Parts: sequence; structure tokens; C-alpha cells
Amino acid sequence: MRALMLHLVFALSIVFAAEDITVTASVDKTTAFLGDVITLTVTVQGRKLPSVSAPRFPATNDWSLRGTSSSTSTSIQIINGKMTSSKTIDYIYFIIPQRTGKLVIPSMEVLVGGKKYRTKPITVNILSGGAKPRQPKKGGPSARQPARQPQSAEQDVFIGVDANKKSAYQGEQITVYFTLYSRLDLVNLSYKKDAEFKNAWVETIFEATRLQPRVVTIGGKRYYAFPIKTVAAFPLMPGYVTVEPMELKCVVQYPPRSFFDFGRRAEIIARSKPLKIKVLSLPEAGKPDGFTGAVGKFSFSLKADRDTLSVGDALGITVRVSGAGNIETITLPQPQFPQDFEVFDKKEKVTKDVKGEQVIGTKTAEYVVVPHSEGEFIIPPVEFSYFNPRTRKYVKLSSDSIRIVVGPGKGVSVVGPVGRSRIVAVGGDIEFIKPDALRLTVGRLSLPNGLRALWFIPIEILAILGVYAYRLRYERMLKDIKRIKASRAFKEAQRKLSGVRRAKDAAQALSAIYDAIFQFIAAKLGIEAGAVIFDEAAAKLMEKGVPEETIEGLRDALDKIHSSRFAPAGEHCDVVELSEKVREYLKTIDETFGRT
Amino acid sequence: MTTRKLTVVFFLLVFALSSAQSDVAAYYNKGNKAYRDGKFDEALANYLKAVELGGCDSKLFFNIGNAYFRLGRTGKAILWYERARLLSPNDPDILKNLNFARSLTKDKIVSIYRGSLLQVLFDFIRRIPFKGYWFVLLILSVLATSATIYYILRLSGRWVAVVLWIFVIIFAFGWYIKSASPWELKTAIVVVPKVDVRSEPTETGELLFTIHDGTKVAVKEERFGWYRIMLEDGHSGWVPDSVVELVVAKDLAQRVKKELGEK
Repeated sequence: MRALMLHLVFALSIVFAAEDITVTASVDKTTAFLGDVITLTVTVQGRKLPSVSAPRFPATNDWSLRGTSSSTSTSIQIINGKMTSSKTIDYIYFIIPQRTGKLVIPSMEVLVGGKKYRTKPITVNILSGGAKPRQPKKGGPSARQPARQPQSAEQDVFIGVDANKKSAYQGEQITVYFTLYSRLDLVNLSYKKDAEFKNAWVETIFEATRLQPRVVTIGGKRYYAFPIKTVAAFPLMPGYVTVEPMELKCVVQYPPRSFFDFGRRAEIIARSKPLKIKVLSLPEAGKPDGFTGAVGKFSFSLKADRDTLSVGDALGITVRVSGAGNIETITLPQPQFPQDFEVFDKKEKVTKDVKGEQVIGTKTAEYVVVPHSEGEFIIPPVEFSYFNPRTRKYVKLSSDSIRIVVGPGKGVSVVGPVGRSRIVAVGGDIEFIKPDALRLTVGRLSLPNGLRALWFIPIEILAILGVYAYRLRYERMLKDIKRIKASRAFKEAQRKLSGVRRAKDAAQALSAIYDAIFQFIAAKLGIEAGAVIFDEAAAKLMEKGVPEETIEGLRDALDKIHSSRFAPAGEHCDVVELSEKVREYLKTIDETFGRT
Repeated sequence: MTTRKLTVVFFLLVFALSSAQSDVAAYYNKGNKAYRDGKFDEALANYLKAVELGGCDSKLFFNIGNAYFRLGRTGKAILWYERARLLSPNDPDILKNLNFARSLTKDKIVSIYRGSLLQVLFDFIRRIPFKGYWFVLLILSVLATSATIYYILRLSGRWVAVVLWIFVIIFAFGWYIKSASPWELKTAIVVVPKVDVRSEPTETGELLFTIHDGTKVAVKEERFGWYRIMLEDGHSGWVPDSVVELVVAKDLAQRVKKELGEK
């Protein structure tokens, strides 16, 4: 088997080497009778085909369009075990001539990957009837059977075609498998004709890049089975999907029949049989309004790239359908934009992939809109429905609504052309209504007015008065403390002076007399004891009417205390006598304050 | 009442308010759709239903004005634009539509204060919304009170307090003028095609002059189902209270309910 594979690797022939994209138009007959159906085929071919838009048959009085169809096929070549492919899309139009004479099928435009291609016009001779039109001779090179193909070869090498279901709903995926069966060694293999699907949109989900055979027994004979291709077909209309035969050109090696026979090679055309799959129409019961033919299982969303912007800014809105099914052929629902939104552009994009044997993908439509007024706008929910063939039921999906807040614009300066003229208003009208809103203010139409609305000012005045009253009370309390202290000052001084007799020594006794004098003066003058300066205090006592000799007596007593403190031991004054004198002075001061 | 009960009551109130706001918005949006479809009668009915449910929003009042305008009821349109202006005094759309609707009224009345400084002052005061004015006055008085208390306790900042109180007095005086003016809270709009203004509140009163749909008047007195009205040019007289509608109507929802019932 390895030898067989090596043969294949080195000896496969080239069928296609299409580098460029070609777009051609052809008809099945160039002469026909009036009323005959002519098949016009527009073929788009290329190694890689990006998005292709189906060409439109131009409206003309000469031709009447009766129907359209399309098919996709792929030609492959295998070199060194690697497969390169060339894709072909046929757009088929069934047209009927409307008059006799030489009628021209006009040029048609095809968009391939954003680039425009045009077909050439074709002239068809239309006869009025009677004489049978001359048909071109049938049987070109492709129609000829290979001369060297033996009769029994078809039993040795053939293509099997099978589908995963006998019938399917319109739009439901049908998986079709192509397998090459061979009893002979394969030396060379190439496509002669890819299978064509009628009434279906097809997606290739598997294409062999290396041939990996397995051994099977058919009718008691052993065959090598090579999976060649698997295709997903999505029926377009109720009726039948027809799979036309696939043809592969195979060079095979016959085994030697005797010692002197080295075997021989032969070219065999392997064919598949045509296959027909029934297509059921979708049930009418429960079909939602706005159903656009989506079949499979999908999710759906409507999104904005932001929810706040300014007047004149661009906003992106995306409608997205994702899931498994006929994603290519579905029509996306269109959102309803507020009237103040200008819709500038719409871009549709399809991405497809294969999961298992299921075609999955996403189809998106991106809108660019620009709001022209400020306010709050609502893009209402959008509905999308599809038919689920498994449950045989329709499913209706609804997106969320989108709330957009548009703020004032940043101001755009527009430079006009030279020679511009002033705009003259030719009419006047009211401004348009305010936009939709999620919430509105609820309440009564009443406004704060009159002096009653100023209720807070009396409260504030009361607060001020309260604080002022507190301040007054606090000050009064401070004064009371001083008054009490002053009234008790002489008693306190007497208590201190009586301690002189119990003092341990003269120094302690002098200190007690000193403290008694200053604490008495501080209390009488309403100041702190530590802050008393005798000269200042003497002046204040004089003001209060204290006799001068009393003040001088106190001054002498203080001088004596000072001098005795620093005198040697034994030279102290008589502290008891001094304390008695001080008591007399303080009593005089107390009496003077009592009188005032 | 326990804290739990108070919390439940609070959340019920919040829920009820939120629900009312959504209901009002639903009728408002329905009205907008009908308006966009050119069904102005249906739009108006939905808008008025929103008012009946308690809607009190300048957007809603503006759109009611538009619906009335499209139905050819200029007086009613002016009335609702005036109500919208009370809530959003500086909305350019409201001012534009109000002026446009006024330009279509029959009576051209020249204010006796036209061109005078007093007119400029009145216009200025009128443009300040009541709520905004009230809020400024509240903030100013709180600042003045705080400055005064600070001065009492710390014995400093006396002049700051004095200046702030001067401002409070000036603003309070302006507030009094604004509140006392009949052209602020007692304005009314003529909502019938033609009204005879009489010298006394009876049908037999002498005919003084005639005013028409959309004319703005100030109500000075109310007696026996009659309003004593005053025009901006100084003319005054008596009209039945059914021919004019007060802009500031405290029982707006009930009035609208009655109007919807009559329809």
C-alpha cells in the first residue's frame, strides 16, 4: 500500500493551475426557437475565491428571466501528497427570448472580493419556428470515453456517494460523502469533473489532502476505500437536491498475468452515480412573522459600541447571528433607528467554520449611524426567528433594546465653496418632539414660592440666637468663678499664714507667707497667681482704693522675705511677726474690696 | 414602628415610585410612536394618560404642546409649552416652539413696560427657575449662618458674615418680587377661539374687549367661577374660568383626567 501511495505522490497529473480569477459567461445554445428556455451560466473561477456577490441578470425587453440556480465545485490536484484546489461557482439563469432575431445577452457585473469583473455580451439567434435550430455537435474531449478503458474497469474502480439523510427540510444541512473504491493499485489520480449540486448552496467540510485507505468488502470482493470529499449542502427550494456524478481520472497498474508479463498501466475514469435527496418545505404552522429562512440553531444579539456620545459622532450598531445552520443564506433583521439618526453605512460579514461535520458560523451586519440631535434615544428590540429541524419547531429570539444618550456636539466648522450664498428660510415650523425615555419625573406641578418657601431662614436665625445665648452663659459662668475665688481669698490666705507656726524651718515659713500674698492678690484681681507682677498689681490695688501704706507694707514684707531667703542661717527675720503684719495688710485690702 | 417595618415601607415607596415612572414613560413612548406615525390624536391621548398617572416632566409637556399644535389648538399648545418652560426655563427647543406658537396668535399685545429697565429686570428674574433660585438662597443663608456662628464663638470673620447676610437680603427681596408677580405663578392662557372680557363677573357685564386663543393673561382675582384677568398692556376685566387655563395647576392630573373623560 505504501508503494501505491508513493506512486500517487510522484505521478499525479495537473488539471488546473488557475492563479487568477476568471469570470466568463456561456449559453447552452446559440440558436433557438422563440419560447425555448436558454441556460445562461456565469462561471467564476479562481484558486481562492473571497466573497462573491451573485450577478444580477439585467432587466431587458428581449429576455424574460424564469429562474436562477447556483452551484459550487472544486477542482483539486495532488502533488507530493499535498492537494491544491481551484474553486468554481456557476450562477445559472434560465431565460426565454421575447422576440426573434439576433438578441444580445448583455454584459453582467460580478463583485469578487470587492473587485468588479464583467462578462462579455453573447449574441443568440432566435428563430420564429419551423426549422429546427442547428445544435452544436455533441461530444467534446470531456465527453469522450477513454479509449483504453476496459469494460470491467468500472467494477474495479468507482466512486461511492452517500448522504446522511434521505430527505431534509429546505435550508437544513445534508452531509454528502464521496469515497473512491479500487481493487487495483492506483498510480495517478486527478479530478476530471467535480460533483455538481443542483438546488443547494454547498460548503466543503472535508477534502482529502492525503489518501488514507481502509479495506472494505463489497459483493464478496475486497476494495481499498479512499474518503475523497465531504460536502454540506443546504437546499434552496422544496423539491429535490440533485448531486451530479463526480468523475476522477485514475491511472491504475494491472498485476502481471505471467512471468513474461510486466503488468500494464491503464487510465480509468471512475464515476459516482447521481444522487437525489428529497427537500421538504418548511411547515406553515407556527411560522413567525418576519421569518427569513434561517434553519438550524442560532443565537442572536444587537449591540452598540457605546451608549454615550455627542451629536455628530459616529456610532456602531452590530446585528449578529451565530450558530449552526444555513448561515450563508440567512437574511439579518434590520434595527429601527430613531428619526434623528442618519444611517451611513452597512457592512455584512460572514465567517464560517466546521465543527464535527456541522457548518457553524457568524453573520454580522455593522451599521454606522450619526445622531443629529441630543437627548436620550431608544433603539427598540429586534426579533429574529429560525426553524430548528431537530425539534421541528420555530424559535423566536429577541434582542435587548439599546439606550443611547447623545450629548451636545463639539461644533463642526464647515467650509463652503467659493461664491456661497446666505441661506434663506422659506418656511418655519416647531421643533420635533423630545425622544423616547426610560423614565420620566413623577410629581405635582407645584413650585416653591412665596415667603413660606423661605422656612429655613427663621430656623437659621434661631440657631444663631441659641449659639449667642450659650456664649453669654459661658462668659457669666467664668465671671462667677472669679467672684467666688475673690470672696474666699482672705480666708485662704489666713489658712496659709497660720501654717507658719507649724513650719519646720524659717525658709518654709517664708515660702508660705510669699504664696499667701500672691495667691490673695491673684484671686482679688481675677488673674492667675503665676501671672502676678507686684508693681502692676500694686497699681491696680491703688485704683481699687487700697491705702498706700498697706501696699508699701506688703512691699516691705516681700523685700524681707527675699533678703531672709538668701541670708545665712540664724539671721532670718521673725517670721511669726512678719506673718501677723501680712495678715493685717491683707485684711485691710479685703475690707477695701468689700466696701467697693 | 420597628426598623424592619420602616425599611419595608421605604422600599415599597421606592418601588411604587419607580413603577409609576416606568408606566408614565411607557405611555410617553407610545405617544411618541403615534406622533411619528402622524396620529396626533392618539399621541395626545397617550401623553395625557401619562400626565394623569402623575407624569410631571418638561419633555412630556413639550410633546403635548407639539401634539396640540399639530391638531391646530394653538392656545393649548402655548399652555403646555409654558408648563414645560416652568420646569426647564432654558431649554432652547421649548423657547423656540413657544415663540413660534405665540407668533401665530391673533392678539398682538405690547407690554406697558416694553423697552424699560423694569422689563429687563422682570425678564431676567423670570428666566431664573424657582427651584434654582430657591436652592441658591438656601445655600447663601446656610453660609451666612455658619459665618455668624463662627464669629460668635471665635470672635473673628465678622465682615464675611455681614457681606453674606447682605447677599441673602438682596436675594430674598428678589424672591419676594418673583413670588408676588402675577406673571409668574398666576399666568393663564386662553384656550378657546374667542373670549369676551367684561366689566364685572356676570354675562350682563359690559363688554370691554375681546381676546383670542393663545393669549397670555395674569389672574388677579377669582370669584363665582370668574377670573379677573390682566393683560400685559395693562387692560383688565372678567372672564369665565372655563375659557382660560392656569399654567401652574396643582390639580393637573385631575384636570387631565376630566379632559380625557370628556373626550
